[in-house]
Amino acid sequence: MAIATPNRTSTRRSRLHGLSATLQQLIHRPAGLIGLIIVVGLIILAVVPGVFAPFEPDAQTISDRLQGPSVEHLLGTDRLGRDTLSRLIYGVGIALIVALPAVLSALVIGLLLGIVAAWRGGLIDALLVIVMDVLQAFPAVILALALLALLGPSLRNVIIVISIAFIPNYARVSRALVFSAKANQWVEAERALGASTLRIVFTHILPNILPPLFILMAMDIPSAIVIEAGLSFLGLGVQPPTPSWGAILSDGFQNIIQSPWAVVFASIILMITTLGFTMLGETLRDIVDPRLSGLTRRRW
Amino acid sequence: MTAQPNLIRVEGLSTVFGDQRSLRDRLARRAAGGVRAVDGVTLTIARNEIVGLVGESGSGKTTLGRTILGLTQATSGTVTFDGTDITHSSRGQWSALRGRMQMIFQDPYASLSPRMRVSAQLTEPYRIHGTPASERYSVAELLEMVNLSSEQADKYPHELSGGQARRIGIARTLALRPEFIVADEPTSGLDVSAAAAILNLLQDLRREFNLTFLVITHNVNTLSYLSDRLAVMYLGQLIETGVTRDVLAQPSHPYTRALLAAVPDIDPDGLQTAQTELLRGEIPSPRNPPSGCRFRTRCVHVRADKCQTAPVLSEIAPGHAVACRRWPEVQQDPEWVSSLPPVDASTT
Amino acid sequence: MSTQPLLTISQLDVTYRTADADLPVLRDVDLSIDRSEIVGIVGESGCGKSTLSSAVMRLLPPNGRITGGTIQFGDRDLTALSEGEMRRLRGPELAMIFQDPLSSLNPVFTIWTQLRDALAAHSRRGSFDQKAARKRTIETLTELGIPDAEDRLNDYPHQFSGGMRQRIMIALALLLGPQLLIADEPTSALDATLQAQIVAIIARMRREREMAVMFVTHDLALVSQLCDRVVVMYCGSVVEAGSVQNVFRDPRHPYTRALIGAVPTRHQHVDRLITIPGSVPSLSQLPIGCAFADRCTKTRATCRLSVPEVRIVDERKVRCFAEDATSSYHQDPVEIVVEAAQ
Repeated sequence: MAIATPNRTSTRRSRLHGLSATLQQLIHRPAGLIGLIIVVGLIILAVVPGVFAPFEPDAQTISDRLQGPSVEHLLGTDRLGRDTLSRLIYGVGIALIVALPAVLSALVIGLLLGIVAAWRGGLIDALLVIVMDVLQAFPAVILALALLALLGPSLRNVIIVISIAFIPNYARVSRALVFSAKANQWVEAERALGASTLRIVFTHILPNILPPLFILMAMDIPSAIVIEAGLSFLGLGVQPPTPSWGAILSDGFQNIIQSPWAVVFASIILMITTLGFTMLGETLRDIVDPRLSGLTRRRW
Repeated sequence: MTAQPNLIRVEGLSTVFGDQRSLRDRLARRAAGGVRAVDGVTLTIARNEIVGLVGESGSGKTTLGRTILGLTQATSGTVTFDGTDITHSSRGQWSALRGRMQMIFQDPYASLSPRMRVSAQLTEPYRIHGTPASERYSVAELLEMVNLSSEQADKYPHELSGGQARRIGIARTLALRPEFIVADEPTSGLDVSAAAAILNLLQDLRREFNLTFLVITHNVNTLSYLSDRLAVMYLGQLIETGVTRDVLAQPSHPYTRALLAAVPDIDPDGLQTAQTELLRGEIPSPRNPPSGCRFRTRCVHVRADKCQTAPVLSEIAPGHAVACRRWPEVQQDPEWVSSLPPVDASTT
Repeated sequence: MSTQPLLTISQLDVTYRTADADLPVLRDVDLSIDRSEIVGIVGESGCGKSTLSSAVMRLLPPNGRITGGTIQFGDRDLTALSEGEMRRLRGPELAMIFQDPLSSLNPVFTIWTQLRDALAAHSRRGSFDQKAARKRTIETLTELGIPDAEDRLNDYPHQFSGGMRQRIMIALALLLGPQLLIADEPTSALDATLQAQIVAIIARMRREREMAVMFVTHDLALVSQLCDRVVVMYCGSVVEAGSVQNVFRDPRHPYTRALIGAVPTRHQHVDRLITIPGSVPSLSQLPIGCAFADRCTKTRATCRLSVPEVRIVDERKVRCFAEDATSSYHQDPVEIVVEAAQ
């Protein structure tokens, strides 16, 4: 028989109620602050690229092609004389417009599948696990390639394909979270009060499991961006002249000996983006629920 | 329908867990295994009565409470509530029943949703059932019913003391104006004085709201204070039932005697230490209970000819039933020292 | 045989250092235990009883320290010993058993390994006779009710039931033949029938080996049944101490009275259990004066001005200002709603 303490404090870290508390904690950690600044900066660039980009992304000046950094073209030009800086800035929008919907839709679909599997259990659950296992057995890029080959390259298809590649992880994580939530006695207490399954799942369990899923999302976005870049690099993603970073890299490689600058700068911005999102996501995860560190892992 | 005197009637109720036979088992024609957590229990609970269910771990007492409330599916037998057989009720039927029969869970904190404030927890039943405003208790009223101040309304469960959390759980069950409440270890995890307050509260609530209780506990002293009738469980079966005072004064099953000898009672004169051990060995696994009388492997009164076949719970005195064929010898056992004064000298 | 008590705690103070403040977890605790005596330490959570047992064993957590008083064990003051000297005492002189036997036993070693290692650690260099130790171990385990002890020496802790594990812990504690056994809630997690068996074992050990026992628990009924003397604690101090007969028949401190009145009993029917209004004060906000004053029915002005000293009244110690503390339990009809006992 356990002995109660007169004023019991939560055994977990105290629950944060409200975004402001989370935000404050985030800012106090260096990794979180840096991550936040980078992500916010990228979002601003994506929304209003025109404010920051000195040139149009497809404005060509053949006479200035393959130049290094200069006063006029801060990051140099590519093989068609287009300003690299501007193309990279417009590329932010492309990257996010692919990554965000892809990951978000993967989350929603994965979440629904995970909930259904965990709640029903039995055959449905077993079936889902098998399907997700099969999907996850393929490296994401290979899977994306194969599906793109079927569907044909386009922006829309890239989003679909990346989403499909990411669904299994959300499905598994949601399933695990719902299982552990289901085991709580307060779920049973709700049932005893007469709550229907639907109500318990959507009014109670969902709010409890969404925070970790959002954090997963924050950490999957850079993966999605890199996959998109990879696909575009191979020419299977967005088609030219859309300034996807992958396309910029691909173009840059053709003339890498004469002018390595495009490749260098495109790589750098990819790296900063990945770093920014990862730092933000991991710090958020540590603040909200450190136990998640086992569930979040890199996928390529 | 006229109100039945017996609010709850349980007949031959069994709940078996883990009864799935694998393919290999089926091929080998192995009998269905599984744990018979509740095995053929028959019990009645009258209106406004408090029945205490006592047993140790593995006795099945919690499973019995949950099966009555439909939280665990019964495998066989029936549960009748106010004259209606509810054993195989549909989801819709349960929804209506939930308003009339409720449960107080064992862990005071675990049964409260961690992200909801107290006020939200208390109004949750109304939101679930869409209760019209005229039929709702206010949060302040519910808190007052359990002797809590309205200051507690904005707190989260982890900010409450054990006793307070327990009371919130009780208040929540009262919201729907139930007739029957199953209280599972209502004082677990509480200090002595907090536990006393909860027991007093349950008494008051029974009177104020005409409630009927099934109190499940491992501490028989709690029941001697609180319950009108007592039922003792061992390995899934009821082995003795009766009016509390009768069972405590004249326990007639060897296990009941052993249990009473084992539970310490405030005893300044040290009478209890004079007891010899009335129990042998360890409790058998519920997966594989002994054949015949389940208690025979530990019983000091066991006799091969009488105990190989399972005894049936039968009445030995008005309102007092025992599942043991050797009960006359048990009652006359000189080893037993009753710490109770003789029944007619009681001043209650 | 000396008539001096085996253990004498005098004016013991223990403080826990936290980020915000220093908490006075034990204040001015006096206590003595004779050989062959079982003394029960009771109180509700937060009263300091577990800290007391840890202090005697000098096993306080890193942020806890003994800030005053002495613990006299035999002819040594335990508060003055070094850690090395304490280690030599723990086991052969002073042994402790805890509430949860599974976490006290290492799950990856067999019980024989653990028992043998404990015995070997406390024997003189080079003189450890493993065969003799094994024989003694088997004898002790059998005595404690573990069947087939010899075969089961090779089993792991998880292969035993809870009751068995607790017996192994007791065996471990007993094999070294301590003079004092400290039991901290050893049966709280066990069923009633198991608890009765363990308690009977402890009582038998006391008789056969003349071992003293300090039994820490929240279960008043258990103390009244098993112990010779009882010490009631509240908020880090001793409020009443005396023989079980005296204290339970005629409790003098208002807290003790309320506590006894709050426990349901079988042998006496009450209409209503006693409850104590309010809650235990937090250690960081202890009031000046008696810690129980806010919840007591007998509070007067003096109670809030200074902490009462311990007085000896009717063969027991009471820490209370109230005049009524000197009067008998049964002469106070207003407070207790109990049928008059025979």
